[in-house]
Amino acid sequence: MVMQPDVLLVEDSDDDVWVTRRAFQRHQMGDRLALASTGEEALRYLRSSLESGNGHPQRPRVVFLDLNLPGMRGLEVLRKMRADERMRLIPVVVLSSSSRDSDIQDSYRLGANSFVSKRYGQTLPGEYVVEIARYWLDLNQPVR
Amino acid sequence: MESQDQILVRAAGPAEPHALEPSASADPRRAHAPRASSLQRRFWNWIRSGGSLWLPLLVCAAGSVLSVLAGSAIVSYETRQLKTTLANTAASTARAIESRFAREVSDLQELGRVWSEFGTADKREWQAEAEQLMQRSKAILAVEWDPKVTALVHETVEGLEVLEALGGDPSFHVARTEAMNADTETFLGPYPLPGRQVYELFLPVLKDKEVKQIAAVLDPAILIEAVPLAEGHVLSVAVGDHVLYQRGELGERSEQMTMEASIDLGRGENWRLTVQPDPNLQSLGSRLPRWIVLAGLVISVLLAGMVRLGQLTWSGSRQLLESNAGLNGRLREVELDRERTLSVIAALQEEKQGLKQENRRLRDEAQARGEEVVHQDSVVAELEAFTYSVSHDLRSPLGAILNYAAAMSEDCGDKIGEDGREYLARIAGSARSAVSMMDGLLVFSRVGRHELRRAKVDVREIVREVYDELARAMDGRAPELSMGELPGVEADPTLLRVLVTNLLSNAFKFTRQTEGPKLEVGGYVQGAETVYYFEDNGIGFDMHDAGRLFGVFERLHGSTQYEGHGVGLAVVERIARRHGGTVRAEAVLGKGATFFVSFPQRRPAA
Repeated sequence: MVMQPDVLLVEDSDDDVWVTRRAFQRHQMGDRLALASTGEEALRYLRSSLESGNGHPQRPRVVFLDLNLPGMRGLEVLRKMRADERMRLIPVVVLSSSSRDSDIQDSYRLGANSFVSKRYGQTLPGEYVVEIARYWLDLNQPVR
Repeated sequence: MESQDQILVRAAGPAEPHALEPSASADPRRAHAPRASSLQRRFWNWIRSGGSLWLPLLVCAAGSVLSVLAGSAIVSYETRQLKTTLANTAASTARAIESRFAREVSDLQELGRVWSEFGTADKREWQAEAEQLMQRSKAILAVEWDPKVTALVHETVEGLEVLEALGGDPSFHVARTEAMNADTETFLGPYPLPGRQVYELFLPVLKDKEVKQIAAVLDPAILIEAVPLAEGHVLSVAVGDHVLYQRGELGERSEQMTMEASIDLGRGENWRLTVQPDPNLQSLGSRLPRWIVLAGLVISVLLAGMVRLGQLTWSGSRQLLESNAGLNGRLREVELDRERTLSVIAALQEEKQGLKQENRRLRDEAQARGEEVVHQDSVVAELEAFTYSVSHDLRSPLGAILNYAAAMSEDCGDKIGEDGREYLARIAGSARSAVSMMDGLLVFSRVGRHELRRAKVDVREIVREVYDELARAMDGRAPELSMGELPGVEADPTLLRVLVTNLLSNAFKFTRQTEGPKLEVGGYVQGAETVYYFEDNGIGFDMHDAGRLFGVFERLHGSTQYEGHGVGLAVVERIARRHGGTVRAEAVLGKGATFFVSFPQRRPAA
């Protein structure tokens, strides 16, 4: 059964996208991952998902958001999401290579649900992202 | 009033042997008072007794002397002025007389020329000329042309014509006969006639190829009278004992200022001009000093009177003050109080000034330090930003290498064989250690950028918590902890926790091979510092390497045995330094190491 994607990964780095997609595929969840390589693209995708009917994607149940994006920065995407009434409650996990205090503080202040530093060197690369996604997809109880 | 003091003395000290002699007894008692006040009292006593008369007299005498000196100075100045004027007058008068005489002579020469041109036939012609000359000159009393020819005479002396009167003088007769026969100019005289003195001037004239003489009788008094003479002077012209002309009465030379000048008439004749200022006209100049002296004397006397009056008034007011002795004493007390208060105020002001200066100095210092700190901060901030971005940006590609290596080993591990997997593991290992170093750098830079927020920190609690945390991960192989005294410290709690964590994990790491690992943490206050020590019985290190201990990426032990990126102790050092403190280490290789961290004690409420 082909599932509609319900995880949105906002990431411009091909390497990170490759690792994450591979991790999802490892768990037969490859088709649940949607991709946006810029902030603008992410916002377009999200707005479209709010509409019902054919041709519109399903609303994501979690967004993995990189902060270091070309053009619109990750924090700006987050701010716009939280300013929009219909996107306000979509869970956002900031996934960043930064561990800068100010980035962490800004993310939470703007309404991020979680802040996770990117990890490298694990035996199973990207596995941690799948674990986080599982939490939001299987354990977390969203607003109906 | 001296007696008042003496009475007092006698009344107060009859038992004293000095009291027998009044004047001797007064001084020792006064010696108790300050010397100045004793002098003051003597002065007032003197004034009270009416003072002495010699002060006004002195004033009077000084004034008189001064006015006389002023008067004489004016006199000497005036005299100098007058002398110069008189000398000028005499000289100019003498020159005027000389030029007048020269004109008479040239007129006579002109007459001689006319006579020689017209000859004897035109007698009327040159006689008319002579008439005109005599009328113009007045000083020429008679003209003769070679006595045998003719003579024109205007003046008579006591009924006799002037020439006849002269002829009565035998010496004149001889001289004029000689002069008439000479061929040079001759000036004879003076010859006294009744009421006047005369000269006769002989001028040679070439007539009919013969030298003849034309002679003229001159009255010097008339000649001099015709010269405009200086007004306001008495003067006389004389030759030898003969006074030729006199205007006014000459005074005695010792009394009157006198100036003489010589009148040179040529032809061997010199007259003497004597000039004196006319005492009737020039007395004003000499009166001024007299007036000044007089006025000075009057003023001196008046001044003396005023001084005397002042003395009396002063002593009167002093007596009034003395009689009001109680009030005076009170006044003095008040004055004393005032002085004391003033001195206190002055001291306070001085103190305030000093504080102000100190304040200013401190402020300047603080500002200078602040500027320095701001500058250093900006440099440090730049370096921090650089460190951060380098470590951050390098981290991603290194992470990608790790990830691809892992993916390759996962997907193609069986295809690349034993060697391939070995290389892959080494690639991943290198990348991992690079990532680890980047992480260390990030921590290090974060410590540097962290904004210091000081608070009272319970070090014992932090050590306990961190130890427990680390021990949990060690599965019971943690070193045994003993804690000594652990005084609190003013520090940033977050950074202090990082510091303790790094030092404890260091101790954990290097006691791993030790039998019965032990860890002791304690602290003490030493001078103005709070010192903490972290002692372990681990592998220690060679003290030769102590200098490298706190450098970034410095490792004294192999990374295969002891993991880590060589940043931990650099972070510790940095945290201590940010608090103004220091870190040092002592160790014996194989026996253990002790790390000392000292923090300066901060002044309360600083």
